[in-house]
Amino acid sequence: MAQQNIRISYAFLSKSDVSEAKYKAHMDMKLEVSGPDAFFYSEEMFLADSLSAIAFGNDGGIADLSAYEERGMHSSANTELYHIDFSSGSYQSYYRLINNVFIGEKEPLDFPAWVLVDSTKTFGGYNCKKAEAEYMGRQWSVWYTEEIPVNAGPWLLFGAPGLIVYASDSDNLFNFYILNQEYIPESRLPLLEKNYLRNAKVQRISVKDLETVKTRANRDLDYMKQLMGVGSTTVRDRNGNMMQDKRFRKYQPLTSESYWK
Amino acid sequence: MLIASATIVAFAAHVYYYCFVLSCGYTIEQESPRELTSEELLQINDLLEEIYCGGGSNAEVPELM
Repeated sequence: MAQQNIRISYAFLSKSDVSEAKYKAHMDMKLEVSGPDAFFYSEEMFLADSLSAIAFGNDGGIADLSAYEERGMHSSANTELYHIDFSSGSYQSYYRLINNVFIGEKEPLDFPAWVLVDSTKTFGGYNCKKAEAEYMGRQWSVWYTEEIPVNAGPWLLFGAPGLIVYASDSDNLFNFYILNQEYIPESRLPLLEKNYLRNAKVQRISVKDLETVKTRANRDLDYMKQLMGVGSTTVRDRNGNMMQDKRFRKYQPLTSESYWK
Repeated sequence: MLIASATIVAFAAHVYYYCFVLSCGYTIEQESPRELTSEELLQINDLLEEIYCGGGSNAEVPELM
């Protein structure tokens, strides 16, 4: 593991169902590796949380109008956060709905048994080699580069002989690819955690239970509202006509549901 | 995203109604059993934007060379 702090930007493409032809893109994902810790999170969430810490007081009221206006330019919708602690061989995951934070307690890392494939390509200017493994209930193919000697990668992918710069699953539901990387003098992780948990009501549960809550909330909007403590929703189109509200939507978690059975 | 797009529009019998005008043109009336803070309203606005306006799936996977 590199001694310097390194921050890698990734694009994360996902489908909510295998039948979809194209992906939804999240272009703001960050992997930060600092000493034995690796965090994976949304940059938009980090910026929104950082500005909220200035914009709002402890009562949730507006404390700084300038910061409030800037906060409105960022989205806190993607609140998934993953933390690998390589020193203890464990990981945690986090999920937040408004100020309700679910923390998945430390779970032993599932070490992917990478099979190195004799194939070399380039991506983003990096020379890459291929590896494959079954991991967290899915079959993953990754391309890693030995030019960046960091045994980490996007989400919870890790353990290849270099930084994972490209990854996809065999169902073509998910794809990660590197955008850029930078060595940084100081980690933002203390600030990330502090602001993520600011004014939060924390529930500590198992990672398995957290995955169940997150998956159900993403599929069943009534359940999401129940967790948020709000009531029903009325939706109108741009002409003011009342629309039937959607209750269910498709969603696929990165960790396959079959993994927990 | 619209700043301060949520406004309280009614209060009756311990139910609060908030109105969110989303960037894709939808208007959402959200019930709440309690008064929501400014910070919570922005967070809800973010989620509603993602649920009702963020459905565009048009990205393609880049090729390795």
